Amino acid sequence: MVEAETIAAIATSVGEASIGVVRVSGPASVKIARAVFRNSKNERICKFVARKMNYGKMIEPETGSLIDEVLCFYMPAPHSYTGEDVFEFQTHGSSVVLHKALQVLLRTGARLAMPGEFTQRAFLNGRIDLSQAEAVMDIIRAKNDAALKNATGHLSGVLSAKIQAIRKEILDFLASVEAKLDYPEEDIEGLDIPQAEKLLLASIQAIDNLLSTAQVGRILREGISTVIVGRPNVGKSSLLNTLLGENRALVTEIPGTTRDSIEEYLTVRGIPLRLVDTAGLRTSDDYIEKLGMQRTRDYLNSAGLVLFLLDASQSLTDEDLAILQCLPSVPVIIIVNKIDLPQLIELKQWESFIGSYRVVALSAKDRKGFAALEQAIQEVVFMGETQGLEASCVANVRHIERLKCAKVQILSGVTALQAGLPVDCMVIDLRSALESLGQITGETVSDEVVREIFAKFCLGK
Amino acid sequence: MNCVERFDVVVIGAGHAGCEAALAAARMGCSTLLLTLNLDNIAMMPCNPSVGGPAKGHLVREIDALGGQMGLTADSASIQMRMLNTAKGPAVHALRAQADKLEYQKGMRLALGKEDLLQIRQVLVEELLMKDHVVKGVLTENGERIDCDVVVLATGTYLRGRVIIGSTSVEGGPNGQRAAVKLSASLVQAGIRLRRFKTGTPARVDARSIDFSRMKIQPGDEQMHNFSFLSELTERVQTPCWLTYTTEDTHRLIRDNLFQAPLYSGKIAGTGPRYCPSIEVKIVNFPDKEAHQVFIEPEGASTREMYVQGLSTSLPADIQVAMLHSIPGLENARVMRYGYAIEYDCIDPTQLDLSLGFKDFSGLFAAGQVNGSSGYEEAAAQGLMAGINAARFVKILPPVIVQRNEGYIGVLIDDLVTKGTNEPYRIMTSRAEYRLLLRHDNADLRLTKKGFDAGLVSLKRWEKTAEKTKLLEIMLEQLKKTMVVPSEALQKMLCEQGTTEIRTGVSVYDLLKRPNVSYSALQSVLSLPKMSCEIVFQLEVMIKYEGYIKKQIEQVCRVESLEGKALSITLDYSAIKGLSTEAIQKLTAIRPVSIGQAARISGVSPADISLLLIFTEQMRRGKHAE
Repeated sequence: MVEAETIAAIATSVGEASIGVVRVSGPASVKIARAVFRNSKNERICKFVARKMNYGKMIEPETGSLIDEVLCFYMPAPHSYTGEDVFEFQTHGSSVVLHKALQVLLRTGARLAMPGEFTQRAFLNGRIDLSQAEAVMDIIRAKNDAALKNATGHLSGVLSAKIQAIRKEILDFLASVEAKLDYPEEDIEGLDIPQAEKLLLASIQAIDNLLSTAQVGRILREGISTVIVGRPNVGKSSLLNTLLGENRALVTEIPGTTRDSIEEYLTVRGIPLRLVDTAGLRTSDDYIEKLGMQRTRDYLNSAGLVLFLLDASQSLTDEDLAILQCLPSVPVIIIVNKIDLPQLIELKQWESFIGSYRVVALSAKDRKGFAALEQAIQEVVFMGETQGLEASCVANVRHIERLKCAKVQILSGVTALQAGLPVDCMVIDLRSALESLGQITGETVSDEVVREIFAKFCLGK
Repeated sequence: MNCVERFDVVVIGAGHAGCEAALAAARMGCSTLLLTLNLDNIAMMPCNPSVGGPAKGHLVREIDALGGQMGLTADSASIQMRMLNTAKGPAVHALRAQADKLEYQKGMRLALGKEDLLQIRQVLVEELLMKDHVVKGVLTENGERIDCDVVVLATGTYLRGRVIIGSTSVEGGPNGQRAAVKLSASLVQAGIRLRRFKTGTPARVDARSIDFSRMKIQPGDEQMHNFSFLSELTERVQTPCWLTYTTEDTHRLIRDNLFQAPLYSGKIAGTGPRYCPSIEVKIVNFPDKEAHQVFIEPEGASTREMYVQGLSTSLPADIQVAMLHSIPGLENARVMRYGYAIEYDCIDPTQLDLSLGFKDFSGLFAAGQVNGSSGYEEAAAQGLMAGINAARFVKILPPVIVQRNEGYIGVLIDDLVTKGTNEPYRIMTSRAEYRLLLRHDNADLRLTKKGFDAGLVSLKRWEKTAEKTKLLEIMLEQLKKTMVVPSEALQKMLCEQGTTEIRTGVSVYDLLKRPNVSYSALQSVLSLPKMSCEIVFQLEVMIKYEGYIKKQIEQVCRVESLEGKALSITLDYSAIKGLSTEAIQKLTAIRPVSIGQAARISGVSPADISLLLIFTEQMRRGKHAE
């Protein structure tokens, strides 16, 4: 939100388009461009010509290795999209490439833009006129809502729990330290420096573990969170198996977790889908029965795409209607399964409920009609109806960025401690680290420490 | 015959808040009337006979830096001074004084008596007189009407006060005084929202009945300390405190008699503070703790009363005595005053703005425990600011606000009015996000100029601070330029200090950056200018923590731009598309004056802030277009 910082973001939707665009805006844009761009002769460019397309490549400045061939475009302030110095890099449309490009920008001096921030800056710098103000606010609101939903939905239970654990360790530690500062005469154990170091280094190790799995692309993967719902015995597991059989991406089992959090990844026409919490789907069809309506609702609320399954060989039941009414305001594709059996279903009587949802008829058992399903999914994503894709990709990058930031801050605290600087300096670093981690899970530091102090210690007057 | 008197400012209550408010207003040139229900109890300390400690001590320094009175009076009445947290580095050093209660009151009365523009009177105020939400004056129990431009409410814990011991509950203020009953009703009728809080105090015990040999002595510091930047005291007679502990007998006694504890028997309705729990609450919430600390503190040279800190209670009198007798050293203790709990009405501080004036009423200010804070220092700090701003109101000048990055006073007031409080609020260093900037040693550098510009700080004080600021600037530059070359003596000293030798020439500045190297150590081997302890201390802090101070200053800058974006207090938040429902509700209730303040309200998210930025820009351009 602060104008002096340089921001970066992926400007295009992530999918199977042929071009992707990443943008940087702010005072450090030129410096960043110099660091990451090499022209066709493999040279650094010192002076970029305004509004000239440069062909060349984007590299990792540390190693010189290639990220992608790009077109690089400089728009100096004030005649740019945001009114600040702006650089655009046009890459190929692959999500992997866009990811890497964004990350390299974040490493060389930019910060990840908040949802809608480019537009916000454009408006605040007078590049968008007054009559568009309301539209601007709409964009910001919509993007934030989506981002928030995705931050919580995208964050798998496992990752969230791990970050919470790290955070709690640090918060506990901070509370003891600060309690001692505020109540020096109370019976609180003083700071044991070797013990403190051990604790903080352990936190850093835990963050490193999370980051390494992220690099390998296991836990923090992108993909639209997709939930399959339907009453028991409509054929969810066979639909799932058929989908996976043909389109399965890396099946990853997150180490050390229970079966509850197995996630399936598949790509459909280049669109990554992340099937959320399908435990039970594979072994039993009693999805809803097992989980109960409340949990189903929870999953649905964090979904980016819902596949609602009906059984064509039976007429629609109250249970179907109940599920229909639970559906969140995200894209829904109604799948009428078992067209291999005699049809009893009468969708016409449910027209008012189904409204504008797409309907696809198929047979999971016979593998018929899947092309239509894939088409439907593609349409739904590229009509921009689901923001899941871009947001989840970005959420991924944001998590990594925040984790790295927290690590640096904790490390600084350890250094302060080892250098013999007073406790106060370390506290500044640890509070910043808590703040960074909190931005992943959506918690704020401010009153937390005080609350924790009183919860832990019996403090008199 | 009723002759109506007129004053610029009327202050209701002569506790710590009231005294500071009255003094500030009078010193700034306003005719001021200080009303109290008991002239003998001006600046009374109804609880702990101490002033200061972490964060609280910082408040006292800041009050002094701004031209307030508490620091000076605390210095004159102190019977013990201790600098706390000395082992933890200068940024968290805090001064704490044990005060002779009667001496403290005497000192404050003397200060009040010196102001020609200040009158003091003993009379109970019954009604606040307002017309169309503008303050007109007050009505006393004698039927007198006193007209004024500004009223400062500093009624402490006296509004409908109720004192509770065991099963007896009696209308009254602290220490057996009257309560102010009718004023509450007058406030409610005017439309002011009140709530009910509680606090408590422990017993006082006769020093002659204590066996000190069974306790641990807690003496004062040998080094001389003062709160006030202007104090000229160079020596002081000190009295020690004593430490003992509760026993399993004590705990059992309390547990067996909890049914008689008003807190549990349902007799007390008010919300008490988490951090000053009665011993009953301590035993219940932390049952595994084997022994709780009990400090025995002297209340003054002219009394035998010893304050039993840590044993705040409202259990019946006989249980209190039994409790005391179960503690080592207090086996034969004779009670001089019983502990009690007190319930009182106080104001929801979110009705105030950052100047401590009511948002909805013109000319009405509130300060002290009546705002839901606890502690003498918190009260005095608010009183000072309310008094300054009352005077500014009379003179039709903008109010003086201390920002969160300028002082603990800023943190205190902002927390109260922006976030509100559900229990008596106590200032703590962990509430300040810029603790490294808000140090005990630099209160004058941060605030004296503000006090001078406001019209309260004397020329003498201001000149002293200006001189100090200049000297620090010059010395920092000089130390950066002064180079030293390796010499045997220097290397030896460095080794002794536990740090590495130098290879090439370095500046004194860079040497001082090392945590183990002190100015005095360097002075022993180099010829460096001689300076006062105070200046040396400052320089060392500024140099050694430069990196982290810079980090904090950067944090301040990052929020500064938001603080500078003003919001109209009449803004209709429901008209801003896209704001979350919770944000609309909270913003409408608090009516922040800047986007920075809005960001601190719980329930207002970064997205809401983005929208506010767009909206204010939209308004700004709309105006320009006109």
